[in-house]
Amino acid sequence: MHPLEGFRVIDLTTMINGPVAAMLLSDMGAEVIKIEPPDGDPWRPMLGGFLAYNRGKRAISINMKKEEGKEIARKLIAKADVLVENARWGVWHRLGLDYDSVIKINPDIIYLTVTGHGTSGPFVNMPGYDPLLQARSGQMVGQGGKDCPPVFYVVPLNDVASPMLGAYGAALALLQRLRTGKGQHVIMSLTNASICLQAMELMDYPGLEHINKGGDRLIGLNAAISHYQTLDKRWLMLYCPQEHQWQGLCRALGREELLFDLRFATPEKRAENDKALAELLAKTLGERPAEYWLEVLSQADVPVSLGQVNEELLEDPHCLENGFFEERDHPQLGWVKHHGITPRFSDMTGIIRRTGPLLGQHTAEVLAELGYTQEEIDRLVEKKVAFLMEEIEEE
Amino acid sequence: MKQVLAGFRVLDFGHYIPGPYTAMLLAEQGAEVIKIEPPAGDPMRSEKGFVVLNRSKKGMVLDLKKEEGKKIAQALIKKADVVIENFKPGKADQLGIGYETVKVLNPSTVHCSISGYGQFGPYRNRPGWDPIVTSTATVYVEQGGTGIASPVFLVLPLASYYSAFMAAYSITIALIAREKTGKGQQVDISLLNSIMAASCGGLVNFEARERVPRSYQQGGSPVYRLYQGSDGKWFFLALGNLAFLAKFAIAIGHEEWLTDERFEGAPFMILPPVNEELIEMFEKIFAEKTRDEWLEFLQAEDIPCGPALSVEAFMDDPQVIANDMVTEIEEPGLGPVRQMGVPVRLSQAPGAIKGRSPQKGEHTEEILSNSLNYSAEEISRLKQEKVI
Repeated sequence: MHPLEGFRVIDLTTMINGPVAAMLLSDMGAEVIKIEPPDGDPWRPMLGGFLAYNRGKRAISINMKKEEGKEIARKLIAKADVLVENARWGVWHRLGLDYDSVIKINPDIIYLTVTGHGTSGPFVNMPGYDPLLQARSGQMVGQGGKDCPPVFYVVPLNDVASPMLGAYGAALALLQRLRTGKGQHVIMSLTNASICLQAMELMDYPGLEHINKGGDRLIGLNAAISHYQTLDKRWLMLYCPQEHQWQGLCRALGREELLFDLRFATPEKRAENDKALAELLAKTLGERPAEYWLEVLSQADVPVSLGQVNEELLEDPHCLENGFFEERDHPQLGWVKHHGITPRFSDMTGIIRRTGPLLGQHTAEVLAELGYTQEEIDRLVEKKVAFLMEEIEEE
Repeated sequence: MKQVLAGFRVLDFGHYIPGPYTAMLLAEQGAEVIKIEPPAGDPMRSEKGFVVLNRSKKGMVLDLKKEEGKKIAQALIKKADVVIENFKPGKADQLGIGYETVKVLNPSTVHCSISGYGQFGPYRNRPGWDPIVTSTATVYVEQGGTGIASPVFLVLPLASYYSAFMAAYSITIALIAREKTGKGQQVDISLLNSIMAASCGGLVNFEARERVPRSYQQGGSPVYRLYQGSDGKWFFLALGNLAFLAKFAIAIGHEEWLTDERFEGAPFMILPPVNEELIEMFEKIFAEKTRDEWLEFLQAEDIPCGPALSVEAFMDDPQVIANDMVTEIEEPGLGPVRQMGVPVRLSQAPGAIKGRSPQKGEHTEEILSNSLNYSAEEISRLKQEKVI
């Protein structure tokens, strides 16, 4: 059994933050139908990301600017438990699918908005791209450091945090609906996500000294929390800020004498002589290959990891044994390997029903389920209201 | 409607970030959260973030290494809907609060364990510190760029944060399932799987996948990256689709770009060496005006861009204020602490902050006497025996 089995989700989203919210619901067993415009989600060309953010879903392509297309959307929404949208604020008002309009079709629906900035306020109509929030929220400046260029995070950090918290909100609303029968509007934004990802940075109180810990091509925070390069030019991440970790490290490195070195005798002393310590550690760790150090340090329970590359993570024994990657067939690409489902439940399982669907892959199937006959479907395709997969491929 | 989790009781045995943050997210949607600390306290108490991650909770100190401490914890578990812990796998069992024990004590309890690598598999016993797991998950290497470049360490503990978001979601999912089955279950969350979910777009693999080499800390796409104005101030230009690129080209008088093949692959797939040539060209253009002049000009044309500011400035950001995302809470010893608000909004059942973080053991006696009917004599004996 899957926890959200039997729940239906209509996904009106594009790009990252909306699709991920619907994907998280799909992972828990909800049946998700993604409705795309004729030219598809603009994130489709970013093939890898698109497949990841839209796995598990069925995809239909309809033109909602036409009345008959809108009618199809309304029929689907009428049967849904959750609707997810992430358009720029105002778009669905113009198309008649904003929250107040939708509850006239389906009064008990949970309407999840995952937007850039929220649903009111001075920036509400501005485009919401993750890096704009990385820039405005202090994330880029915090990473780049004082007096250095800000840094653009490769991980789309707010674009994935907002759907995680948005999915949390939708799940809360579903839990409540099981008891009250009533739906509601759940709102999450990139703006709020950027704050949640700086829960401990976005603070102020009298006398608080704001320290920017960032820097240009930062490799760590100090000698004890840092990357070190090994003889074979690999990088190890070391985490030894605590006293017992520091002692374990010195012993494992065969540098017990450092424990008696007055420059490093206390955490304060080590902070004072951080640069000297980092140089010493870099020299020692640079004398042997990564594999050697990983074994020695792991044996001694010193927190360490190899800075893995993608190919290594895909073959990582821990990931393999846990089934953290799952392969699905794709009509054009052959196989596609996805990251697994994040929570592991003792009594239930999540499910990845399929890899990201092709544009219009399930248009005919979903329309047939709504009761459209083959003749009606053909007519809708001919009138360019609905779009099938084959037809789009030819174009 | 009342808050969704009103009437739900959560025991938070968490420490540092993941467990406490999860419990805070549940508390602010209505759950009654009791934070249970060892006599030495949550080691996070010495960090400034503690007061944020532990607000809206009651605080209790219990020595779970003593039989009687264990007994009290188990009596509380019998009345709990959710138990959260983020010890190293195995430790919760030793302390008498592991899933196997909880399942017997109260079959309807949802038990959430958060750990570095999860409860199963060869790395389960590895120290699961955030940077170690993040490194395993390729994130620092990916940030540093491909080739011989060094990895880049990220200052935000992203894996810890994502694990808390995924834990709050997954616990709620387990509570939904419980409505049908009447049963609780174990929810196993790892920092590894959480940060992998966050970087899942990069992790997807298929045979024909081409990986674009890159090492650009300010962004690799000329139309989607950081630039400096003539005053040296930075802003991000986010021409996230071709329509925005066209608007931009027209606005700055370079309509010829619309047919310029160097922009093929825009917005995200303009590859070296063309991207570098274009970045240089854009840098020269943006050096002609100050940052704020550019922002004003571009925003008037509805072209996505925005300044790179500090987190201190963001606290006063008008949109943040409009979203009610900064609030002030009085903390003894610190004074008024400005901090984040409640992020997820439910229109009919809005969440709320319930107050400041508890002092160590602040509510121990209250909980013992009100919830478990301990007498004053018993409580003073437990104090003497250093159980509480």
